[in-house]
Amino acid sequence: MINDEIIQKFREKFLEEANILLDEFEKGLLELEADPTDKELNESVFRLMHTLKGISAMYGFDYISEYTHLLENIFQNMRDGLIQLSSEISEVSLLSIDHIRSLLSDEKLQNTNLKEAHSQLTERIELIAKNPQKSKPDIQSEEKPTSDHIKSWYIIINTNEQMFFRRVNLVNICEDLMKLGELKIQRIPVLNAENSDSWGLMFISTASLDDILDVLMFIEDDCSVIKVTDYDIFKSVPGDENQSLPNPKLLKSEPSILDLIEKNDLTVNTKIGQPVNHPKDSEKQHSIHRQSKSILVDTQKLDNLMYLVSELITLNSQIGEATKNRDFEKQQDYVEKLESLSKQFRSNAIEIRLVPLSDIALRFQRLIRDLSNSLGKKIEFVTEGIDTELDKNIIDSIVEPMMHIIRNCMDHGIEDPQSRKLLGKPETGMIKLSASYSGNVILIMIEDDGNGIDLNKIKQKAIEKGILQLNSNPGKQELLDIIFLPGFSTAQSLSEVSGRGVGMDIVKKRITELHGSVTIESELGHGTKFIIKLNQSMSITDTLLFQVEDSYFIVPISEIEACNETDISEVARRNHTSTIPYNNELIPLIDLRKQLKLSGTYLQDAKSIIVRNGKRTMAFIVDIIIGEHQAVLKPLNHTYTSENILTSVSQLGNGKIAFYIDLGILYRQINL
Amino acid sequence: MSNTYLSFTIFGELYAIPVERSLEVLEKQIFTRVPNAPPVIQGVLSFRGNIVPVYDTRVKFNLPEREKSSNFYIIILDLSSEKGSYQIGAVVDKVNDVVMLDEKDINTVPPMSKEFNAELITGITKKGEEFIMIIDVDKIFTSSEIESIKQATDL
Repeated sequence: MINDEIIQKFREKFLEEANILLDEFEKGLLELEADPTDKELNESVFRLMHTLKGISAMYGFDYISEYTHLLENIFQNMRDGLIQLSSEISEVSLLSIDHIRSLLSDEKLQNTNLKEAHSQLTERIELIAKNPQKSKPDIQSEEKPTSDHIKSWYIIINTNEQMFFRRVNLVNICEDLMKLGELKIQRIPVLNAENSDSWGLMFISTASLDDILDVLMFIEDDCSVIKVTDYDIFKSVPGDENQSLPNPKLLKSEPSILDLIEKNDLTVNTKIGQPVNHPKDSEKQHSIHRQSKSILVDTQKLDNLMYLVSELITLNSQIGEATKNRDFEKQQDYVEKLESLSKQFRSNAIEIRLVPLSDIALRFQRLIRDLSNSLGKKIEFVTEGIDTELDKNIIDSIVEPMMHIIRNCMDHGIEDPQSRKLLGKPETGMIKLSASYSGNVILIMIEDDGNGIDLNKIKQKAIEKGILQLNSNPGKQELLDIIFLPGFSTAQSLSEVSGRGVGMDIVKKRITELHGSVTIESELGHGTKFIIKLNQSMSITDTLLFQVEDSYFIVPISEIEACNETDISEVARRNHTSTIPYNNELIPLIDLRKQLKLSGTYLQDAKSIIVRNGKRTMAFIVDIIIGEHQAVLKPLNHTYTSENILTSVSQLGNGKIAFYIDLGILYRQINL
Repeated sequence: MSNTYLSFTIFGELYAIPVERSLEVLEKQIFTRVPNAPPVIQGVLSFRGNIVPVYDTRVKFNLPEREKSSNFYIIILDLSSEKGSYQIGAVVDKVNDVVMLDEKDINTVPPMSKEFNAELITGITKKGEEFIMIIDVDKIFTSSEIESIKQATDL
């Protein structure tokens, strides 16, 4: 039982690590596409693949280790400069990343579709690995790989006891070698008392050093391979009839595997967690994975936490001492200190949860790369300020909506190269992701330079769908906002990419759940811009606290337009319309007593709070405005009605609980 | 085999739950009324940093309302399952003590009035002169209630 648990734990650890490695690998691969000659990048993607192979074998994920072993060959060739990243290789590698991700959840290959994909991909990889020259069509007059020439190799295998215990079958290895070429055994060992001796094998083959080393993988520590000549030494060479034995001068030794291993420090341990050769180490500190429940934290943040803990422990004993001595003055000092300490704890905790947007930008890059191929469009992905940090939970939940927006931009926004040319735009379209913060609020913008949104089309469609009245005349912003309504899609035809009718309303819903907002700006013919506004951390929100009867409520300060005295007789007079005059306009008035079935009545000194969300304004009438409250919001999950406007709560200093009013749901309820 | 139960009183009757399902007993804890909530939810309170809904067992068992001034206790119940961690508070009149009950002494439930939510009771046993009804904490919610909670959570 306990063993199972431990194994389970290790497996979870492995899955997490594997996911991180795959992310890194994907990122490296995409970077490599931009610059295939970058030596360090080549090195690092190879290392990542190698590490993945190592740990998957260690944890018994045999299919993955086998698969990555094959894949590794390609990357080894790339690292050694034998081949360069071609579109074929990157295509296969990206597919492989997805495939390995599926293998992580179905390690035994039980799904038949997956099995099929597995064998297909394996074949493709083998093909590339076996014919390295074929996959470098775009490479110039580099030194031609010598692998298609017949060469003579001398292989020395040192047999020993160890080999016996590891049950190495030399006969099988010889058989494998014979598949690659002609094998002549020069010296058969005499089994003597020491049980250790060496075999000498002459091997004539077209195979490359790597191919040979592959066969010798299990005994790589106990053998060495030496290239003798660049031709078959057993056949007569013009002009040198007599040569039948290796010329000592030609025994120019290729680096032995042992050397290779030493040089590259290819041990598994050193690479997990601290990739040595990658230039962007600081970025790695933050890398996370989609389903990952763990988080990589900058050690500096942890050091700070440790420091705060030690402060707290000291303070704890100080307070104890002061209490024992009944020293009230000191006690007061310490309580003040505690206050500032808990504030520091809070910001530290929030900081630890922050991860940069760049962690997910990679996925968008991949999406854009894959989609632009299948859509036949040329699209460049530009980022700006993606080191902006957000709470991990928010990052995790914002990926899907952002993907959807990007998909929409690519599908409906950016035109195909021909139309762009006709319009006088550069053939390559652009999608730009930029992020910035002001205070506690993060702005994320996704913009394209496509054809923009045709407002007339929206209007026409909205009328068709009965969303708009035939003779209504909505403004530009109202028309754009229609895109976020459920069941509205302007796509001309349903495409694979987007426009399945379940579009932007879900995006809006997801973002609203995060207490954020999303708006569109669009210029016909010039492009569309989505602006997402989010709180950096969900756990604290600046709110205004007010009271109706005996209940406390909070609304986000960022939504508040004004707080006013209220003429209660005016409210009573307009009671039947539920509106209130504000800035020469009548705006909806929310009576929380009515809405939430609270008792009592408003008194003469009742106040009103005007809130605004985009273009929509409404007012609350409240008994007392208490003031600002830094709310630590906790979800109120256990409500019985799904459309409850009270979505979360925050605890007040006096132990009471204030209810957070979700203005988005409220707007929807009163049909604004 | 005997198990440990926490026994408490609701409207003069003795009830018990497996002690390992209770996390804490709070005495006359202040909690906050949730506006517009169904009557069975008395309110919410903050328990170890989580917001926990407080259920009125009297409403659940269709018993007369508790007098406003009378003392009460809240038992925090652990309803966590493989679907996730989940706690609720249950308002009871009085918490008595922890009792050991022998499994073979626990009898099946006789037919009870329809108004009383008898499906929540898994067994009845006798301790001294009094009967103790054992509550199945996992059945405190009917499936439709769990469904609506899930919907509210999924939103």
